[in-house]
Amino acid sequence: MKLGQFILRRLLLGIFVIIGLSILIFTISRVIPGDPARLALGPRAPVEVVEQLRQELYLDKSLPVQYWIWLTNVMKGDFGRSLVTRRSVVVDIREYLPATLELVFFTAIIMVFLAILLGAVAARNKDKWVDSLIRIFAYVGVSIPAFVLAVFFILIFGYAWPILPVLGRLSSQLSIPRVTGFMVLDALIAGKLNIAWDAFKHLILPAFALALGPAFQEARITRSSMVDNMNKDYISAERGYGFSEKIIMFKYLLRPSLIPTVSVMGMDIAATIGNAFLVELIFNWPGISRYGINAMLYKDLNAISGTVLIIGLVFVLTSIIVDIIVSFLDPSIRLRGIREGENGT
Amino acid sequence: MEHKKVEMKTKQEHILKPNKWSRFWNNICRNWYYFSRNKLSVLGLSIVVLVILLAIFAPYMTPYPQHASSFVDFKNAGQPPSATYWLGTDPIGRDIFSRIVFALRGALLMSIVVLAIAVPIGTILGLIAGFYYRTIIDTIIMRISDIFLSVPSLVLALAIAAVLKPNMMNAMIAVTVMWWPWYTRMVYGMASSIRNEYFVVAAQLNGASSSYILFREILPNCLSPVFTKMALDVGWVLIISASLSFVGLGEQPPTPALGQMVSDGSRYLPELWWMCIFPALAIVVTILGFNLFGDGVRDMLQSSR
Repeated sequence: MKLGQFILRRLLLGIFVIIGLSILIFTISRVIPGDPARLALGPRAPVEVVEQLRQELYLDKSLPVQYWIWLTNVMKGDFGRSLVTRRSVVVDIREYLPATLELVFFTAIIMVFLAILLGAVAARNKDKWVDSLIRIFAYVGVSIPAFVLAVFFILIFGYAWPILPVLGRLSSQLSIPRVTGFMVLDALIAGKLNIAWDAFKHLILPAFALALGPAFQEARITRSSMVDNMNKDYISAERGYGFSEKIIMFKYLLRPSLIPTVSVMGMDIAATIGNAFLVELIFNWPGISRYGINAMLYKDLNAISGTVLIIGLVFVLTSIIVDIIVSFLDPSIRLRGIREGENGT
Repeated sequence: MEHKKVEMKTKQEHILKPNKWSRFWNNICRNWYYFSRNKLSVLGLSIVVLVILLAIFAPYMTPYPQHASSFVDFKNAGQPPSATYWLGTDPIGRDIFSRIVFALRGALLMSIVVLAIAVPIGTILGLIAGFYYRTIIDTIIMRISDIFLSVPSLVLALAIAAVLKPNMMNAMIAVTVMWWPWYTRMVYGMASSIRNEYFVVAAQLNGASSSYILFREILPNCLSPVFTKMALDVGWVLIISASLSFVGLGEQPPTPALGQMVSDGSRYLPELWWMCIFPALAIVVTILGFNLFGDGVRDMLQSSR
């Protein structure tokens, strides 16, 4: 089947990209000026100890050999030890990644919801004030970095009108046994609705800070592709059959109009993982991004390479999933295994 | 071969020469007509011009240029916005407005340097990959650019800036390193289709060298989307550079940077709200200006074609 071929090709490309990324990360982390062993132990460590660590880290071997050793370890799930937390990087990542994924997941839901709803509203009210309003928000949304929005949210909801919690994942007096690492899900599993509600409230502000900017832009894309499709013959034909506007809108118009939106949304969700770096910092969200930033500020090389590689993996997986979703929406991929209009900017 | 090229050039000049300037002027007028049809683009252009003027003449246009470095004046610390200090002062008495203007200067410089390096590199690589379509050169260049595009650009820039020393120079390097693939991919798409056009084939049959075809036949046809993307990208580079300096990986204090000012200011919320709000607004307005301007340029190039 052509769809299978398409997915297989995407997967192979994904694997290739991840391998390339690992080379890139390895190069970045090894080619920096300075001796990683000396960096790890500090300037006052005796020479013998540094030499010993150099041998432990295989720094005396040639670069390709070092890469091979590093890669085989990574394949086994061993990124080495973090210099800051003094724990294995994998353990750290396992602890912090779910928080980020939870945040990105909620962000994605908000994005999908807003992009479709606002896009449909704008298309229905083309050139009316609602449309103009959404256009203005889209312009501002592109221009406002997520971290600036986050700071504004803190100012509004932290000080001026404190109705939502602005720091952390859970109010300090509450706690929940960790099962999946997804706080809301954990609370639901434990059957504690009040805790789930509390965790959900903590999610709202960071997720909106990440979602609002891209969502308005996607709404614009939905709107313009809906407006384009509205004038197509098959829509006029359905109007001629006497279908109600609602049925035409949601059953026939929306699906083909969502193809460009979903493609852009995939890129935006992937970019969210990057933006989460700063937003997590601001909302004190204990996710992998905050961990990564700390690693970067302390030049904790193992943690940096682990974080970047994991984020690359999530990124590649996201884009594969998006491609599969698009292929369900777009029959030209399902039937022929290629996407029309590739190479668009 | 040399001979022929020179001949062609003089011939072309001969055709253009009589009314070169009036043609040039007509072009400007026509493009301005297309550009100014959208009032938002004109708004964007005015913001851009204002920001650039402020940045260039920062020492003359700010009330307290010396406040953009390690200056201390505890008597006027934490002043709210007033006639003397338009946007207030920070906890050690420095004027926020002056610091914002100098920070804008750094941010603009960074955008210009990043684009000036990344765009030619990306464009040339894309040209080469597109010209040698489906050869080993194409595969190598495009797969490498795939790898760079496989991580969120901010994450990669952060990682690079972090392993290097945190300063302006390295922030520029980090952003440049992740910026070129976008241009490579865009130009690649265009070049790989243009290479089959008749005028390229004709030049090839005439025995033109590869570099002549690449730079004189294919490149001019790819330039207008590249310029459009550049105009739109200034805003993106500003976002990335503000994000880097927000984490502390850009310009180091006491030199001001927009992200750094927002992050400093957020520590003094809500009492000294002006410390945080005004730099944040400066970021938003500047980026908005460049985005509106970029959109205007895109529409202009599309409708004048």
